[in-house]
Amino acid sequence: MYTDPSGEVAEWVAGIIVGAFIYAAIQVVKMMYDLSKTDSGSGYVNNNSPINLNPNSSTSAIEPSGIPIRDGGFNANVPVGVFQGNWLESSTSSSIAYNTTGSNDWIANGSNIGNNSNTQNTENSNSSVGQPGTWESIIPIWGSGRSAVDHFQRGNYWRGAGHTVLAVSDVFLIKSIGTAIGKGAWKFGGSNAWRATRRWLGNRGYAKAGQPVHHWAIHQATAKKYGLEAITNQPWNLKTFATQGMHMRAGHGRTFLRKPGFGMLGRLWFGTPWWPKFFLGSYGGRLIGGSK
Amino acid sequence: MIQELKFPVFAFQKNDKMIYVFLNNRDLKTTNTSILKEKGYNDITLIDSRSNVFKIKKAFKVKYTGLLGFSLLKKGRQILVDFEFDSEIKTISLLEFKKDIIDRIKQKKSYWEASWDIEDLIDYINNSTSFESIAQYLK
Repeated sequence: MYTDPSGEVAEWVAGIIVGAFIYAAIQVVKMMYDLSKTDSGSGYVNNNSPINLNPNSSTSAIEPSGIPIRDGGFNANVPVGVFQGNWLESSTSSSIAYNTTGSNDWIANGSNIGNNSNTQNTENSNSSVGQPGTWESIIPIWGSGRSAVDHFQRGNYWRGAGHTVLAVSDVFLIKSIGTAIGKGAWKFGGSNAWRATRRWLGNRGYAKAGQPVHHWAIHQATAKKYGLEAITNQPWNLKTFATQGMHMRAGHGRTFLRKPGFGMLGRLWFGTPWWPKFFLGSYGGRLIGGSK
Repeated sequence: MIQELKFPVFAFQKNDKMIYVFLNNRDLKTTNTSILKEKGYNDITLIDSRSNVFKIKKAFKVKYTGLLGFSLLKKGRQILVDFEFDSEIKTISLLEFKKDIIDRIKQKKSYWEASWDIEDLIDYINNSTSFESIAQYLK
């Protein structure tokens, strides 16, 4: 259970962790921005390469989906078999392999390198376990664990370490879900009025007598107004605090007598239950990992 | 004579039925620059665990806390303050104190329901034998 930090070190450590979450969020936004640059509506794919090919040329670049690359900048007919910037053409085929992300970290060879999954296969050499598939990757612990092993085997230590962190956060996510199931993750039957719920929380070991319980996602007043108490007076929406002061300051962001409330980061960190943080860490991390 | 506060300490402010409990010196005396400037501590009364009632006459900044008072998590620039108390220090009996506390709880029922079954809480307070034990229930 968290107690009010008297030392600033604890606050700064927590702040750094919150900062990491914000960084992760920025990466998600960046990824979405990158995706939005694909202009499928016009039938063209934006090409960030300095070299743009004329789609009518015999050596034109055809995107694997069949969409010609937008012609912009200057046109150049690239001779077959010549490496240009972040392009590498196959000398044995009329198809051209290229890297749409604009990096040179893989080279396609052979004929008809079709799409990213083929590229993936090229990346997954025989010496590694290979990356998990889309559905496999969302299995907690297993998906990120396999990704980590694969990255380590291929010498991508930073990405391997990143996926290891995700696998560890999965362990905590599973633990918090398991704990909730053990205590009774949902209050079935009986009254869902707050008084009955608070008593149930005490009996199930969620909150001790006297411990403030906070509705972190949907507030009690809102739930009452719209008749949602059966859904909101449940463990998923509740967070306990060690003191009344922390409840007011971290839960509601209000001043407690003259003690200042927590700002947005503080409320996010101290005023939110563990499970959304682990969920964000685990699946947000996968989203970022998958975008690279 | 300078009287030292014995923690835990209860704090009350004028026109507010809330009960504030502070467990240690730093807990009580941390604020930020704008709160000190705009609100001050003049309307605050403290009751310590020895039953002494202190009225704060003046609060003043002692130092910035942490890295020049800047915090990633809390609002404003954090400071540590100290108090100058009214020279007249009264005392309050435990019985009188309990009565006042129970009255405040009844008036802020919905707030205390987040932590307690109100009837249980009132029973506990009525059966308390010290200021410290009441503070533990309300902290």
